[in-house]
Amino acid sequence: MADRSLNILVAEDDCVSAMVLRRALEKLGHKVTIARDGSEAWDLYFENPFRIVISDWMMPNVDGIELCRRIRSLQDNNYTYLVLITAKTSKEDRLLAMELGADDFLTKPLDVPELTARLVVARRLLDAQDTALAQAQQLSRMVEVVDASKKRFSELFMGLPIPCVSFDADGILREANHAAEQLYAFSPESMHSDLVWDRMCDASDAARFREFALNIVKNHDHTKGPAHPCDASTIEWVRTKDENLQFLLGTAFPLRAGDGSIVGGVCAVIDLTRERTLEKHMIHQIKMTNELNEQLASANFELERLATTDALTGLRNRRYFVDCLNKATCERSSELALMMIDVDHFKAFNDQFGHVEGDTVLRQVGQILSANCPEGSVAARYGGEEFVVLLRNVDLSGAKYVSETLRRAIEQNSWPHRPITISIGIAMLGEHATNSNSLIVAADEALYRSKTLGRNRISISECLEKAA
Amino acid sequence: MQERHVACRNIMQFDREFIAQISDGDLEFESDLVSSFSASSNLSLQVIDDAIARQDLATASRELHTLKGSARSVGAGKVGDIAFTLEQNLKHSIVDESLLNRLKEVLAEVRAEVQDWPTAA
Repeated sequence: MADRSLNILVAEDDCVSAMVLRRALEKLGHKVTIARDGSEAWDLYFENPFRIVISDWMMPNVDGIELCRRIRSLQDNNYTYLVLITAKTSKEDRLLAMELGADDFLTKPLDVPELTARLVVARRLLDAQDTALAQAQQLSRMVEVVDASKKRFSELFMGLPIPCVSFDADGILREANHAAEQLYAFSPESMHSDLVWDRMCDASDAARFREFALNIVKNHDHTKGPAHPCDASTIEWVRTKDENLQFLLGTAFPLRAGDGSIVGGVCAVIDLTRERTLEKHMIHQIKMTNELNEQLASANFELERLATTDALTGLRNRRYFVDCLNKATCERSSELALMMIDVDHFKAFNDQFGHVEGDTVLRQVGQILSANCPEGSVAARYGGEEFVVLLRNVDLSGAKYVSETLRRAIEQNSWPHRPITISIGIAMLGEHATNSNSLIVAADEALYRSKTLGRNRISISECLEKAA
Repeated sequence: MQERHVACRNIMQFDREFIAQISDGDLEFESDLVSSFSASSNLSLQVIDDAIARQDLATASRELHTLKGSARSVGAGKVGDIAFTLEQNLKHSIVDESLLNRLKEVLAEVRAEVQDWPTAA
């Protein structure tokens, strides 16, 4: 303290004693105000902040004891040190004075060294009191700062648009912000003492949530500092609210005390219901679309098959065959042989045994042709009782060989009503038959010759025969 | 002059050493202090006389108490002692007239001593 001077009030009705006292106190560097009696002292005490009051005991009207009692009854923040001057030495008197608020006594006549020593004691007590007061004020300011920061944090927590709850180390709910209150229809009163897993999710998820929350509280390194985002864990769960399912995602991290020990956890909740519902809807849609696609592909495949298949025999139909032939003749990538096949005397068979039996024969011929054609060949029904086979990568002798195989297979099959035979005409793509049309014409011409030569035989086209 | 000084010394009512301790050698303060005492003690004496005259022993006693304190504050030991004895007697309703006269004599000596008090040069 730079200023060691004290403001001292002296109440003394004897002007000579007052003079002596003023002299002594001013010599010690203090500021002195003299009151002529107790009531004047009482008035002055209100006007100035005196740290020390030195009062004569015996004064008219308000005496020293009464002055002590009045000053003490004020309960001022700043302590006033009260000294009574007396010739009285009775122990009872002194005890009464101390009980009423006197701190110390001086005797008349004044002894200056004693006064100095007693003022040192007074100063020590007042300094201690000042220090205590300053500390109390500082503490009060710190409390204010802490309170303000607490309030700010609380407003931040409460106002977050994400539902947040905190829980203690036993999992008991401590706080919930407004968003959480809204999501969970919490009332702040009802919340405390409830376990977080009992309030946050359906009973079916409670055990899982309990494990999650207790892991947050227990399984973290206690020596670590404040909560780090890495400490956060997440959990997804489902909750029924008003008979609707809520899909929720919780992110939780531990809460630590000043010493780093975990005292609880905070869990922020994100409502994924909309996303999860959309996701579910989308998955359903995709599944439906896939099923439809499969059905469509299968229908297309069937349609394609139907469009290129002869309904009676199951062989390829004429349209498909013509396409194949056109492509193959255009490519000219290999030797092509075309066999034109006709069931002998089929009209007569039909007339004699009926169309149903005739159809059975055609179906069976189709099966035999299909079974005996080499791989890579195309067998088709050309129309009526006419069939065609397109062979790739064969020369004339290969074509003849295949034709003979087919002719024999038909001939040797056991037929129900009468033997069935076929006539075959072969044409090769080449100098005399350069496209699909001329190839068909050539094969047809060869077939016609097989017919005129007695049926159940193989003929090659005239041009080939001449060339050979 | 020399003789008078000796006489003064013989009847000295103030403890000069005591006063010097209070004043710390400030002669002006010493002079003010003893003048104040001289004036206030004479006023006290008047109050005491009047009070005794009308048998108001309480007022006389209180005034004697003040005079006693005042006297002891300035090192006027004899005044203080006489005032103390008178005060004690008054508490037993005894008015010691001869002692009261002695107080008056002593206070007269105080006045004389104060009049001759050395002032600051």
